Amino acid sequence: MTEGSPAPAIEISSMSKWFGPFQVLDDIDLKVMPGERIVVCGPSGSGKSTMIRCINGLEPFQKGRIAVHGQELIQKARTLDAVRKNVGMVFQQFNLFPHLTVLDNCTLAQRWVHKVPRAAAEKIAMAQLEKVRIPEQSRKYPSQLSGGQQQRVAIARSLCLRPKVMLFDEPTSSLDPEMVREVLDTMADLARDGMTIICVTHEMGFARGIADRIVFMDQGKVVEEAPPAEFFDKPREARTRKFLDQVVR
Amino acid sequence: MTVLLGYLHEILQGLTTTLSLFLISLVIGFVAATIVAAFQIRFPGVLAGAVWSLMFCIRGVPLLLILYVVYYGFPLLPFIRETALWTVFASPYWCAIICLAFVEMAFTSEIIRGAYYQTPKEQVEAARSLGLSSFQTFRVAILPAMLRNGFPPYTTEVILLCKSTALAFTITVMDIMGYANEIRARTLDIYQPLLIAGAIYICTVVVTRLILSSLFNMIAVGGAETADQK
Ligand SMILES: Nc1ncnc2c1ncn2[C@@H]1O[C@H](COP(=O)(O)OP(=O)(O)OP(=O)(O)O)[C@@H](O)[C@H]1O
Ligand SMILES: [Mg+2]
Repeated sequence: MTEGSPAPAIEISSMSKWFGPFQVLDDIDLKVMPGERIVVCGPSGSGKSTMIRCINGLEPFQKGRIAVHGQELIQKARTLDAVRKNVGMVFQQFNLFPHLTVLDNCTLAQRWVHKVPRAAAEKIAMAQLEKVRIPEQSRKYPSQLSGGQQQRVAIARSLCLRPKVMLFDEPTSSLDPEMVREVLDTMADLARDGMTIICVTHEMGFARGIADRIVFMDQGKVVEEAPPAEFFDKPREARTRKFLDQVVR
Repeated sequence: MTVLLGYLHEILQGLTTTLSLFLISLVIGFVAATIVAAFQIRFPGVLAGAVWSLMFCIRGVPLLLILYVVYYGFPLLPFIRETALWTVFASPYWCAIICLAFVEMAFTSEIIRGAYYQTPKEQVEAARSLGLSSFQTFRVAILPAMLRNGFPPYTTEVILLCKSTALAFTITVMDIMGYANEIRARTLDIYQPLLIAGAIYICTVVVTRLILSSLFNMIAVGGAETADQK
């Protein structure tokens, strides 16, 4: 991050969220600059998913503000659509549309939302599928692919919309171990291309390798935020140390 | 043998009636069910609860009872006897169709509602995060999931409806069952006409099933069935 750099890609300030009486997120502050790679980790139930789901408006929040490339998130259809144009999201369960081919999964939003003609949309889709290294699967249905392939299609589907920010919520957690690698490699490619990334993951090797900063959450709070070297080798907080003892063997 | 063929020939006179009872009430029932279910989904609250309770009661009452109320009871009501409605309710055939459609609406609306609420919310979120509008989300995420989830129970329901049409003969409609019963009463042959009628119903059900499943394969769900075949 350079000094005096332009506006942040994502700015979360004093954001809090409740599910009924239960406070899931407690006064979250997070600033992500364009091109930065953030890994979010923390124990189960600490609010990681909820936080990144707030960033593209899948969850409403009650206090504070979130801005994505200067566009503030308000629960209004118009602004949500504007924000979602800039933000791609990849889920743990892939969530491809099972009745559409890989290619149609990738062209659908281009054609329906961005009104790209079919031929152009397919060209963009094929380029992205090539990037995630599965152009040869484009005519298949999601159920005919392995989990790792499906997740890479989901990444390509998001990339087709040319997002400025990519959100990942445990993208490898439901994959068999031998498929984790291929998805992480795809994400590393993205990082190398300069994409702004926020990724919830427990893949600590990946975090160490590509993250600019690691954000550790516990009980709805950001407990610690540090570059990987510092985070893994000299964590400041006791709770971070305890967590690291559990996940890093 | 010739006797049997004679029976078959006679009973088949009722086929058009059975099929038209079945198809007309199926279509009316489905359209009404869609409206009822959409209303309950779109406007949840007291009114939707009232509609649900009404549907629950309709499902809880025997079809035969509803038929009798409409066929024997409605003519006693002045506002039916003395208005244009009488042209409909004077005909046992249309009474049967209305009752069948009415009950079909109550069962099908619940299937539609169930299918809607079974839609995985992840599918909806994926569509939303791609920036699709709520109508587009309905089209690509909800409707296909509803078809996947709703088709099996709907197939069962349609087949039940097909067989329920036989009750129409109790209010003098001459369908398959009506002709079979007439032969039974006239000739005192019991098994032959009833077995022939049974065979005709089975054929109808088999054809219905085939049509429905090819319909399903056509409109839906490329991925879903290929998954099953694997
Ligand atoms: N829709 C909801 N309604 C009520 N509570 C919820 C809802 N979604 C999540 N929660 C609660 O909010 C808390 C945070 O959930 P969240 O899914 O953000 O955690 P997480 O950090 O992603 O955990 P995990 O690592 O298990 O995915 C949990 O205690 C969870 O039970
Ligand atoms: Mg989570």
